[in-house]
Amino acid sequence: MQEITFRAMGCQMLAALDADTAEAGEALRNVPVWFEIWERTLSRFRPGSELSRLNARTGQWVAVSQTLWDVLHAALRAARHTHGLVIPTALSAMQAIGYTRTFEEMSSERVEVTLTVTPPAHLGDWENIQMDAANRAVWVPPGALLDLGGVAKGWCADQAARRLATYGPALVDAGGDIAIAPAADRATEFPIGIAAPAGHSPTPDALLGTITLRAGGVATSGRDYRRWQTGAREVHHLIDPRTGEPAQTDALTATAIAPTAVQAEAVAKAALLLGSEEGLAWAESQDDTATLLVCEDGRIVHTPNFPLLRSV
Amino acid sequence: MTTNAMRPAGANRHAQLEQATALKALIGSASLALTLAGWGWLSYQQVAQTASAPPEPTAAEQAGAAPQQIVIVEPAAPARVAPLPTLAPLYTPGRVEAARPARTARAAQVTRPQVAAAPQPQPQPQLRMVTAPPRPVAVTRSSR
Repeated sequence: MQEITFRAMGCQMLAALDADTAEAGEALRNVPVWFEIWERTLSRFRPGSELSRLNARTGQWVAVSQTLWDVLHAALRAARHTHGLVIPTALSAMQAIGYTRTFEEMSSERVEVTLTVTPPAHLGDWENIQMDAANRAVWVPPGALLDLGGVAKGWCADQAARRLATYGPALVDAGGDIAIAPAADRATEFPIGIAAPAGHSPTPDALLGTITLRAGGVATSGRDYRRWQTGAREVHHLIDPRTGEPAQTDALTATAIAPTAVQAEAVAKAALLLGSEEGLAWAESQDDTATLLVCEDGRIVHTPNFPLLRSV
Repeated sequence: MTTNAMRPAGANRHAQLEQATALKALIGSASLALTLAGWGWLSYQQVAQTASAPPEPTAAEQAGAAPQQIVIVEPAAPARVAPLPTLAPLYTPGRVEAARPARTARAAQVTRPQVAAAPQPQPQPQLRMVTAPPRPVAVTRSSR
């Protein structure tokens, strides 16, 4: 087993290969490069990124790269799958609550922001985004700013794992969104810990339990970490499209297992926005997924098929 | 016969009579002693001869009569006897072998419900292998 860790997209990244060959090691050294290229394309925090350029040209047809095309396609699929709960058009709402810089910059600069209480427009514009497959061009409604966020990280994890699987069973952890890809001739059961919500456990690295996966994705969405104070109000980065504000939910974190990391990210976020009761019911109706939610009062609820190995 | 000249004739005769009487007594005693000794010696010889010699057939045996047989007469059975309880054998190899196939299934036929439904009259403590969860390679958490 070989692995490499690095920072990208404002998160801690890890890639692991269950292969001891020199070629596998060389492939692992390429993973940070892949993520840098993807970040240059997909980051909303980089003014020169392809996504930033697209956001600057709303209301026009814009030819995009294959990467941006694929990720936007995945984001729209997630929006449809979650009935508009996980959308790519929540950027204006996030900017309204002060999420204008990377979370690392916000944490270090301690910048006070003023909460815009008016629900921003354009949240529902994702349904009007048009994609021209023949010309690989995209038309975004005027003023509808895109943020691909968690979907982008999940997509990158899936892509990297698939590429690495040429050399052996692979795991890629993109800041908590994890993809596992088996090799053509064998699969490895990767043990994956499920972190307890930040600030709600006796130790910083406490785990709720461990699962093992041979293929697929697992992701956790939470309002336990990326949160900040705006005036007298504490806000977090998970916008509920139904209100345009940070989600009011009794769930602190939601973890989902799905065929891909992108799907797991979407299911986890939707379940979290819906809350423990409605979110769990919705998650149980989803095929090929298993979901676990940690509530603010300490309760842990999960779908019956969630394969937790050990409870702490 | 000798006489003592110095004694009177009557005194001599009396002494002779006393001597004769004593002599008779002496002879009688000696005779009795010899008789007893001879009888004792003969008895000893007879006992020794009897112990070493084979037994002589009795008169009946010499006549060719068969020895008397010992006959045990069974007591008469009572009119009504309470039947004894029938005791089943605790171990009968044939029966055990016959019962085994009914309780032993082939491995391919064993399913979890059948195993779970098998009667377990006395729950026994069972030793189980417990493996610790493996150390996670990665941890899923909210983005950070």
